[in-house]
Amino acid sequence: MKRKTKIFRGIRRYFQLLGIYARMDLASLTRDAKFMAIVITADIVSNISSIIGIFLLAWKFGGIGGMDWFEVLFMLAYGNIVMGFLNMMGGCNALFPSRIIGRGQWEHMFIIPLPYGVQLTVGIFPFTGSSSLLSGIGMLWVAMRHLETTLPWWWPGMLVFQLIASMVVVTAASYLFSSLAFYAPVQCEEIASTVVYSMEHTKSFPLSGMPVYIRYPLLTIFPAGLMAWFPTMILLGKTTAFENFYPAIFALLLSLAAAHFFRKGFRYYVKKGINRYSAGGHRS
Amino acid sequence: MSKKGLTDIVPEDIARENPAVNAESVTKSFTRWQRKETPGGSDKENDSEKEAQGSRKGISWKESIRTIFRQEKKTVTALDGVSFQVGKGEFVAYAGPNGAGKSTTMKLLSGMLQPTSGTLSVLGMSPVRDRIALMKRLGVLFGNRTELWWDHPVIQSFEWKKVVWDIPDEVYQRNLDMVTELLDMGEIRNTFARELSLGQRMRADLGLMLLHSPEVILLDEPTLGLDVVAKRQMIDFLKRINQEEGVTILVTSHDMDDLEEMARRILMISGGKLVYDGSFDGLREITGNLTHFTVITDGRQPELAGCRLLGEQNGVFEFEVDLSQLPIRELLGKLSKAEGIMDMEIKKAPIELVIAQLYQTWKST
Ligand SMILES: Nc1ncnc2c1ncn2[C@@H]1O[C@H](COP(=O)(O)OP(=O)(O)O)[C@@H](O)[C@H]1O
Ligand SMILES: [Mg+2]
Repeated sequence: MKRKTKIFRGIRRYFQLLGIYARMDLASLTRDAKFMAIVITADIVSNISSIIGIFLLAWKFGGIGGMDWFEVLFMLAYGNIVMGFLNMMGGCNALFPSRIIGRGQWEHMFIIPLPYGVQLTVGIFPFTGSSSLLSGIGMLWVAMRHLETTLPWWWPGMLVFQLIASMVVVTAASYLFSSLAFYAPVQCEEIASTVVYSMEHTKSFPLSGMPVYIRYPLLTIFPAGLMAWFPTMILLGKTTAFENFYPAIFALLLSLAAAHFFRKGFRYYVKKGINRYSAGGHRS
Repeated sequence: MSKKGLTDIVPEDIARENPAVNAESVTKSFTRWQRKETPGGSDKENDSEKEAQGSRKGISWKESIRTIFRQEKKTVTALDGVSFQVGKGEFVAYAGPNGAGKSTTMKLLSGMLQPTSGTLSVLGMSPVRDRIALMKRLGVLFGNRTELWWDHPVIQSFEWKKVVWDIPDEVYQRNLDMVTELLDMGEIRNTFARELSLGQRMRADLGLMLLHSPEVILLDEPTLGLDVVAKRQMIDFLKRINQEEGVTILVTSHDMDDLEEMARRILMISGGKLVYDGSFDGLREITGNLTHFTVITDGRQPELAGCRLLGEQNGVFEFEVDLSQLPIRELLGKLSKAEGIMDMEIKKAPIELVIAQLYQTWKST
């Protein structure tokens, strides 16, 4: 009973925290109509441009490398949901920790009475950062209306499972490389965004029919293939049972490695201290 | 502290068993990369302009490559066996010239760094191990940065803090009313942080820091860059919350003028070592009340007995005087009789001089 109230209180508190960040996000979007219109327009443009090329190719040629055009659309939608969700959660640069380190912003985090994990995950941007997520969900809906196979009852669960695995892969890769920033904060300030954006740009290429020497690296050392293409294959029932769990296993291993190196870097940072407080070091 | 003569006895009424801040032989060293400058050639035929630039040429290509294989690292001991205690309810100034180790101490106390050796505690807690529990009761403000949300009105940062620190409604409201009134924040409250002047921003930051009723506050150079009025306002405010709310305050500064106004007790560090711990009056007894003043004349040198002339340039004469020897009234009397004076300015002697004086007394005893 006591434990239950404690957990309940913890959850309520977490939502309270999400609430204040969400409110601040809304306030920053709606401060004036012109500003709001610009932000929304920019979002729409960048969303369309991120998928239009691949989609038009798939449409024109009736599919790419063995994937139908709506399967390609499904893949693009899946990728947008992955990145869209992470962007929405990334209000406090949680997806780009090397920025926090490089700008000296961790010094703000030290003095906040919340665990770092909570601090990093409550900074949501539901109003200014959710366009990609919403467009992804819309595209997924359109693509699914064209899928011919009937889906088993557990399919939605599988979708969520794969989405989580993909998000963990991106986040873990970002944290793994960001741990370098503890040692060279100036040079590595943008390493997280470089890693994330390069994976994001590569995620939209349908890898079906690609030679093995391209496909395998993209599923292992540079796992952009796990951000959309491979999970799409899984969700469309084109993989074996073991392959269905490959992204999750990979995500687990990568996040263990990331946690290890990030902690190590963090200890180094607290021991050595960095004397860096850049112009971008204030709260954003 | 190896010399007793330097240590003024700290008032007994400070509870020593349960100090608000406790540092025991804290040492903190940093490693720093270094690079040698290449010595200039011995070529005497070099034109004089080059010679005037000194005998060093800067960092050569060769040197830039060499350090890949053999780094030049230097250990900087920012703090060297520093021990001190601050009792609950005290207002202590932590003074020292630039690079003395003040910010390092503040970062250690707020858990941003770990000491190389020694132990630290604030309110009986370890700043690193008990970080979360401590931060609910501690206030930290570094003058060179802001805790305000840049792109939001000040009140938004306040509301954010209320939620993040989980401040009860009545505590928040009481503190909000208090800081709004005492810091004159009526208008600032609704302004975006990025549009505030430095003085206004500092006031907003101070207000933000106090919302959760911290028992101890650490301030690193909060007066840096503020004009005289803003400084006064800040110092008065700090004194008030110290007296009325009993908040323990540890504040750093390298400016003797500010320090004197602020605290009764002063901890002075120089080169990472504690060189003085005691009252201001005690410091006065050792170093005197050294003051610098400049006098602008029509060119004539004023005759001022008891004052030491430090230099002269274009009719601007700089003097040093010990106001504990020559009271300010007498000094003004002398000045009013001197001829040709057009203007003058008085300023406390820089902290470096006070420390040099301390060392001198140290040697001669
Ligand atoms: N992260 C760091 N790496 C290397 N040296 C540092 C670092 N932080 C501080 N120092 C050095 O430690 C000394 C004390 O610095 P600091 O505490 O900032 O002085 P203060 O605040 O009194 O001006 C200085 O010599 C400074 O250069
Ligand atoms: Mg400093």
